[in-house]
Amino acid sequence: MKIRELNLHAFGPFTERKLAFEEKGLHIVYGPNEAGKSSALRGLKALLYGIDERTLDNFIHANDKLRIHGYLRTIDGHELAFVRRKGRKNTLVTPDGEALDEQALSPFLQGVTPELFQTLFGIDHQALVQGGNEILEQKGEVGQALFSAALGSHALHAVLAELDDSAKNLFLPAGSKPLINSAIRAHADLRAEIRKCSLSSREWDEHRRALVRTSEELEKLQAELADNRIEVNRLQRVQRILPKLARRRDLFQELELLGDVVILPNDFSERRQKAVSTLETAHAIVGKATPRLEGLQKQLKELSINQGLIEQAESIEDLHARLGGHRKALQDRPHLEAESKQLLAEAKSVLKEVRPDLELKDIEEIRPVLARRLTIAELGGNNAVLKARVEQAASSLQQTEKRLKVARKERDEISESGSTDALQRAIAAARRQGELDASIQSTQSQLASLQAECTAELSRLTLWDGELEELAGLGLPNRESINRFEETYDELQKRFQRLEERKEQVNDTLLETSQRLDEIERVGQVPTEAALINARSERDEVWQLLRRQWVDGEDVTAEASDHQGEGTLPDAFESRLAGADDVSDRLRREADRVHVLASLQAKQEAGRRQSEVILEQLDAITVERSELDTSWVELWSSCQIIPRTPREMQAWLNEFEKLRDRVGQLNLLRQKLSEIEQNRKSFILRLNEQLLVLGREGSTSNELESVLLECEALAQQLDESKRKRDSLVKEVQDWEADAESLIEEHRLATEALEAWKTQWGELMQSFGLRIDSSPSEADDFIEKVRALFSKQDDAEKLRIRTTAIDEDAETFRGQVENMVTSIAPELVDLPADDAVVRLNSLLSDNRSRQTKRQQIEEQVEQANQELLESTASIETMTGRLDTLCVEAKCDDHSQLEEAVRASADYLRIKAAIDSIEQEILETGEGVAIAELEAETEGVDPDTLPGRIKALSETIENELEPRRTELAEKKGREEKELELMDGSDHAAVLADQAQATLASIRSDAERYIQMKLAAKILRDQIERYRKENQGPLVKRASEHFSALTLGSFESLATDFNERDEPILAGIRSGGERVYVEGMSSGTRDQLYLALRLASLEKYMETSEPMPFIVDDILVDFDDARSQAALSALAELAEKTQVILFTHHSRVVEQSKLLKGPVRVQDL
Amino acid sequence: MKFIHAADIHLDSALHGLERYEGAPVEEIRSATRRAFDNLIELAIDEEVAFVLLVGDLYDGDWKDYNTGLYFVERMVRLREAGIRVFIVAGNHDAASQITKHLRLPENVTLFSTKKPEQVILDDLKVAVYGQGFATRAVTDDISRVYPQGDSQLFNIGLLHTCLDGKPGHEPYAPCTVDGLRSKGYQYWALGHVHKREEVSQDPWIVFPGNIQGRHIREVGPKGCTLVTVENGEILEVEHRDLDVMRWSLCELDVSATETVDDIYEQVREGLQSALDAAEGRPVAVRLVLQGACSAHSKLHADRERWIQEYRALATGLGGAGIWLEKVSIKTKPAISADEVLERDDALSGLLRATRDMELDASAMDALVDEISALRQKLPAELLAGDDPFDPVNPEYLKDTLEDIKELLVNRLLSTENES
Repeated sequence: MKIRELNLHAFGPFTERKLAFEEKGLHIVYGPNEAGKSSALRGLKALLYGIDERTLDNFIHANDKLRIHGYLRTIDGHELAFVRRKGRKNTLVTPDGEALDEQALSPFLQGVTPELFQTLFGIDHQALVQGGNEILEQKGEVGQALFSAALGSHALHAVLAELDDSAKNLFLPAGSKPLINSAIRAHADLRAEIRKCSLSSREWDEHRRALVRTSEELEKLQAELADNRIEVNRLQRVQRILPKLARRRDLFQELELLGDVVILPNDFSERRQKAVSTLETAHAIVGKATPRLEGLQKQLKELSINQGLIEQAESIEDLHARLGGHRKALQDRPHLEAESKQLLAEAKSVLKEVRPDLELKDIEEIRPVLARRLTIAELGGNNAVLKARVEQAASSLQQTEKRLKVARKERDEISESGSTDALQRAIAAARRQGELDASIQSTQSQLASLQAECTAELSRLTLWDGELEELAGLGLPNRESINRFEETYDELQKRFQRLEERKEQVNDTLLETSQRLDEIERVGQVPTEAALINARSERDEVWQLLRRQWVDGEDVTAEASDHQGEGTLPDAFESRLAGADDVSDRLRREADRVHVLASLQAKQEAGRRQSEVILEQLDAITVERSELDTSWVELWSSCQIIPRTPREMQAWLNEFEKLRDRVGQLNLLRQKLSEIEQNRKSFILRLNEQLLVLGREGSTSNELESVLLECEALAQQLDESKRKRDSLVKEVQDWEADAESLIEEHRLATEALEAWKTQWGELMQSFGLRIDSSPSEADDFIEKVRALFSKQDDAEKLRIRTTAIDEDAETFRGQVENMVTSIAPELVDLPADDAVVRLNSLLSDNRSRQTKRQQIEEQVEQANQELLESTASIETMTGRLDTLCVEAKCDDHSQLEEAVRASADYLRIKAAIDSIEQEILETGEGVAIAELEAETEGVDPDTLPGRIKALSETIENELEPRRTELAEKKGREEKELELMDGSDHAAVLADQAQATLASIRSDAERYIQMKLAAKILRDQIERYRKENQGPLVKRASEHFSALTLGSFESLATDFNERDEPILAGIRSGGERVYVEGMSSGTRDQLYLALRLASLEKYMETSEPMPFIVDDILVDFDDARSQAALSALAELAEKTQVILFTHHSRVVEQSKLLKGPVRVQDL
Repeated sequence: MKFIHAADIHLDSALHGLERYEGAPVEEIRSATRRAFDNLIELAIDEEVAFVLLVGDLYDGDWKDYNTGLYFVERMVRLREAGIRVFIVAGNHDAASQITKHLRLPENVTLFSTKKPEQVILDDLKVAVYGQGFATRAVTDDISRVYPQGDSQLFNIGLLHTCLDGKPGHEPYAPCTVDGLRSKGYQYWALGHVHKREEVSQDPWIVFPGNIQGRHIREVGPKGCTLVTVENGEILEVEHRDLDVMRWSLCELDVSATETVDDIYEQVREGLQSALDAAEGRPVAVRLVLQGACSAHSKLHADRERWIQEYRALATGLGGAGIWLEKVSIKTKPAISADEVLERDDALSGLLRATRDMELDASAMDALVDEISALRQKLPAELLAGDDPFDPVNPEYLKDTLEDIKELLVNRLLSTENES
């Protein structure tokens, strides 16, 4: 496949950038940096394989506009022109825009995928360097090097290594770490774990049986153990009980020895002792009481008492108590009298101050003053309040009137103005219209620019000279007619072209035919049927002559003279016979040539005829076309236009119609402008009317906005002054109301003050004061009257007290005299107060005697009582002892004590027996004493400890350990069974095992892939090497030598230590240099040599593909660069080679190349 | 009266083919067969059924954990407490199972004899139940022939573990015919053994309820039991009830209409979402199969691992009850035929031709087998055998693998990225 043309119609930075690769030789596309070399490369690939979905080459042309045109040709002449667009489907279209199946490209691409195209048929600097490195990585291994070069791959070594590594990471036959190995182990572990935690039915059964068996054994053993324990217990009881039974028997013997005993009650002994001691005490008391009684009787007789004095004790004590008061009153009396006199003198002087006209005795006349004291104080207080109220009213009124005056003045200064409502409405209406001025202005400017555009376009419009206004009316042919003409022209043209092509073909054929005829004829005369006929007829002619002469004997000399040149007639015949035979032989022998000649001639003849027919047809077309021209021109004549071709006229018509549309728009715009202007005028008018109504002059401006602003300013001003005046009117009204209410207040206050004065005067007069006395004077007066009365009252009180003192003293003295006369006449002569003192002392003396007498009388009474009680007690106790003797069956009080002792002994022994029996019962664990007696009957106590020990040891050392063991065993079995609880542990593990198997499977699949991929690849590398090593290395060797400028003479194969073939460069001296010893530049050239050789090989058997080279010469020095260019130019003789470069050096060097080179700039 | 008919419980049998990976719903599907069986017990109690029929294969034949049996007994006791009787015939798996032999079942459970057909009459319900279990793993006689004739006064139910007249994928055990069953005059034949639900006949009713929980990718779709309502000796309703706790789904997508791997990703998302929706709130194990000729074929095959990861992540991200991507099977074909390439004579086409021809070349296949025989030797026996064997040296398998290998090699060799 060959790229004839690549047109970056709209792609990357390009618009309609055509690159033609039609000619033979090396193509260099030169573009300095930023010229879009990479974009062009991408475009080339995109042309063949589609534009990348996420392309970055859409920075100028939008995705849906991206287009690359291409024109391809295969080696056998198959061609295709197509367009690649961007998209997800149907990205291939014909130049006419029809969808093209992607398969249409397959004859050109020959199954070369985009990846292969990139690697095998493309090389850039990076790929070159990587290819060189790859050779080093491969250590020059021939197979890999050739295979890499054949694929253009520079990842072969890495791919192999990666496959091997992946496989190793997955599985190693003898490994344990790789994924599969470890998973297999994990799986085996899981299986083991499942087996371990799986419960077998046998196991379960065994445990169940073992549990039953153990339970039974345990039960039996426990019974035996219990029996043994009972026996031990019994023996231990016997051991404990034996001594107690013996003791019991002893006690019974003791009891028998006591004989018959009267059992006395528990309190008997106490009762006896108490009776005996009480009796003794009573005898002692009687002995002491008798002499004490006699002494007391004697003391009584010696005590005497004044009974009258005692009887009057209360009166005496009362008098004695009053004695202090009596004495004090007599002492105070003179002081009281003096004080009274003083008070009366003071009262007199006060009265003189307030009412000199009155005597002290008459003062009751003025006492009412005191009663009206509060009224006066209240009225006096009102006076100040009333005065203040009047003053306050007067001052407020004055201030209010002053403010009222100011407000009135301000109000009158502002005049009234008319309503602005109508004006406001007009403004609002105008505002609603929007920016009329601006709209007019913009419409005007649009109009102007449109007008200018139209004029410009008109001037650009060819073929027709007229004015804009005439455009609309111009009658042009319609589209259909033009299309019809266009089609007719096209059809004519196609026919013409076809005929021309046919003509050319026919001419070619004719030319070729005549050439071949010429060739055939040059080789030698070709025998023809005509020649044969001719020879035969010539032969027959001579034969007829001969025959006539020979058979008929005719003279034919005359006729034979014609053949004289041929000798005699027979000679002539022979030679003619031979000639005819010769022609016949040749006809047979050269039948092919004859045939060819005949067909060529026939072809020539046919060609000539065809040529004539074609020429006739061509003439006919010329005539038809001139007729068409005429009617075409006629079609346009009505509008004075001399038309060009229909296609051009279509374009012209487009321009024309576009212009006509614009003129239409122009008219519309004009109309719109006039409407808006009209509208504006009407609004201005309305506003001006309103101004006049408000007494202002109308505005002179034509612009709505300035009129509006003027009106709005006025409306605002008027509104403002109206608002101010309204508020002042309100203020004046408020002040007036205030002043009125203040005048009223002043009047009321004055009246109240007058009323007070009248009331006050009357009051003063009634006290005998001036009617205009001030309230404070009145207060003073009242205070003094109060003092006067208080002093007079105090004096009166003192007088009453002295009178009372005198009366009390008299009564006291009378009472004392009476008392003394009746009970103590010896004191009659004493003054009353001394007599009272004496009486009192006599009374206390008699009282102490009386107390003493009472005490002695009580002691006598007590002694008599004691005597009486003791005598009774002696009698009672003797009786009690007698009773006790009866109870204890004694004859005498003295036997009682012995009886008590015997009874106590009996009870003690009895208690001891009870206690021992209780012990026996307790120790004997509730067994009856009789049974115990029977049980111990004949038991030898000495054998007991031995028997107990033996039994205990059996329990301890034999039975108990066995029981423990069995119980533990039972517990274990129970636990085992409990663990067998139907858990899903094993099942869960089985799920895990399956999961592991699944992992192993998927890893194994991957392993197999890697392993087999590596094997297949290695096999293929080896196969390729075996099949191609010889010729490829030979060809590469030539390239290598040329590319290294002879530094290496050739390339050869050698073997490494593993007997694998490896590459070696041979220096001219025969020295071998392996890849490790080559410089990186040399390795790059080696790689390039191998690539070129591989490409050449590829093209021997397959459809060549263009080789796209992207600046690989960057690192080459000038000479090597030149050598590489030569190599590419050489390759370009066999296939298309397109070299993209940034470097002008390459372009310069290309001029020195021998073969054809074509340089194109981007 | 209602009763439940279930079969093929396969208690504690493991779920197959679920490779664990990050994000897989491991916990959600734990003990699936047990939980499905619990659902059955619950359904029986909730619906107050009179009895439950378990028609064979309670256990997996080679499963030895007696705990499974103990679990089963515990559930039977639960039914006893609810007054529900249970009739069981042993299936081929049970015959092989060690568990069956030792288990003591509570008295509400009737295990039919394996020697001859038995009849149990439930007087209170006017029902006769007939059944015979498998004595050995392989019963190849038609044991239904010796079942007694049905009693016309009773509602007759036959229990039979059978393949009927042969079902693909199931062992041909206890074969019998529909006509043969019909001739017994029973009202309901409760069959077991076939894991896919099927109402074989409606007069009389002959029903395979299917198994109660799918366990691998060949058991897709809803699984459960059949709930039968009978009144006056007539069947009123036969309905399937889901019991499964997780579902298996085969998601086969034809990706031939796609252009890019992104398109396929979208299609996979839709496919997985609909599988998840169809599982009605259960987790679902999905096998994703991509097929059809598509432009992305090469990318899919060459980077198979990556796409599996992507789809797994996608499945995990879909949320819901969870998706376990059991396997991603990429069976696509290239959009453009490679014939032209194969005709060329260069290194690449040589490689492709060799790969193609290898399928037909026995010695080449042998060479491949040599490469992987070491692996095969180490693989667990379970993987090589069983229902879904994996034998790496199987030629069919190798043939499939070669397609991947081809794409892998071509892509890696021609890769212009990742040059390290």
